Amino acid sequence: MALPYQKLPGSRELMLEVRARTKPGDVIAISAPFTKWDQGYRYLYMRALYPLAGRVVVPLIDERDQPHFENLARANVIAAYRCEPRVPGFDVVWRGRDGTLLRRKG
Amino acid sequence: MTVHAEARRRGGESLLIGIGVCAAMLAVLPWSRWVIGAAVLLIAVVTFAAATSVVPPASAAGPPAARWRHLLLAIPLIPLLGYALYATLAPPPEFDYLADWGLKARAFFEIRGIDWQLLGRAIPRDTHPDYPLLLPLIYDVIAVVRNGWSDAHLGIVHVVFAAALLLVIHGAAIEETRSRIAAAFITFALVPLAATPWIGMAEGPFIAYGTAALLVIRRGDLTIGAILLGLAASTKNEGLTLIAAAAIGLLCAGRKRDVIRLWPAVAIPMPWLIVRSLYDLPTDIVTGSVFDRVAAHLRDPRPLIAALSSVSLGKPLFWIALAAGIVIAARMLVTRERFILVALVIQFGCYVAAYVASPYDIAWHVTYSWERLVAHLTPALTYVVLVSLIGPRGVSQPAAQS
Repeated sequence: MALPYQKLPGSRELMLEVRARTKPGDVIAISAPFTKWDQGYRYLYMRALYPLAGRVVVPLIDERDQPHFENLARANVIAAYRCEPRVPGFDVVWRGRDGTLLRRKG
Repeated sequence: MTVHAEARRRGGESLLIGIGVCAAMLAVLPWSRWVIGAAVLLIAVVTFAAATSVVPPASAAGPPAARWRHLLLAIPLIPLLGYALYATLAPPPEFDYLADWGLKARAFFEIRGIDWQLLGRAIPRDTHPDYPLLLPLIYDVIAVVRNGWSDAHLGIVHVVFAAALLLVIHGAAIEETRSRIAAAFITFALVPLAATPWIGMAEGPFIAYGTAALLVIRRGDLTIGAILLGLAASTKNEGLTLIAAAAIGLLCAGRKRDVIRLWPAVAIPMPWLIVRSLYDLPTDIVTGSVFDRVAAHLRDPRPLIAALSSVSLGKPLFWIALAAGIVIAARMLVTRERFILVALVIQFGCYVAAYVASPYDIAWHVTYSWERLVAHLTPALTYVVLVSLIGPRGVSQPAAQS
């Protein structure tokens, strides 16, 4: 099952960890060190949907490479692949080899 | 021999329709393990009864001389078993499974119902919220009955579809060639075309429904054929154009009265078409300025032609053999197989038209779909070419002449 995730090593394992630490209905923003949709972000985001089924998974970049930081206001969880964003109102609740999980305070 | 052939064909048809009914149940019944499990059991019994109703009781202990002929079934069965190993070796690995078919199924299972919110916010290019839901619902039937989501052996769905189509092909081939050896050879030749490599995606189920529909309509069984055609349209959007293609094929074959008997093919996908319209689920191919895109692609078709010529369809020996078969059997194909040939040509034209209207980079669109689209058409074409080449010179004529 790792085959479809091979271009971003560890991304599947990260999403499985995120799934285990979230519950259905959570709104999860996907953060990654990519600034363009077709240069990494789409690969990660579209593959995150399946392991995170049941959660609302929102992107921070759209198909026109426009940032959508307003989705952070909707999210109560941030799944960050190989980065550790500092977002006001969120705390890091888990760190792994390939990413971090942040949860909204309170 | 004809009774066994009919039983085999009926078995395949019943299996295909039974699977479709199982999926449709989830639209009306509660997603409870016991309710769905009982319904699946009932459908299995009815399907089995329908498949075996044409076999006389004495046939089970047939004459010894005839029994060895059943061994001929091993010829197509061996590669099919190999396919079963391939399909179930790992969870479906295709991107389209993760972003579309499998995603929908898993998300629906999470809430034990169709997740309209997911479809509403889905990215059309990858998740295709307008695609019909038969395949995701089949995956959900399995999950509901198992009472849990597991994609470990989900590829078995594709093996069942391939087997069902091969049963239809084998039964039809026996009836038309009156030879078990010829039927076994034809079925063997079609195994790689029915057993698609795209595990988890809707190509295999669509090819099974579409090909079986064309073959059944071709021989004159309009009701069953139209139901299968409707199920093809409930599997992929391409099935909608296949309905029109089949209708035009019937008209061109002089079977005008049969066209109206295709009404189940329209009725079956209609509820989904209405619901998706109510929810305003976007269809990527018709979004934006379609006419501008068509005009631009027609003004300069070079990128499309370059893209189509750059994508390899693989299997060079197969294409050479198929082309040679078409040339050798050309006369018989034109006179006997007008329905299938016209339907396939129209469907092919629809695929090219979709590229002309594509909102995406044409090279990308062609690269990731052309081989699969061509695979939709090859089983039916290969079947009629082989039957024309092998068939006993008009022993069992298709209904095209009626």
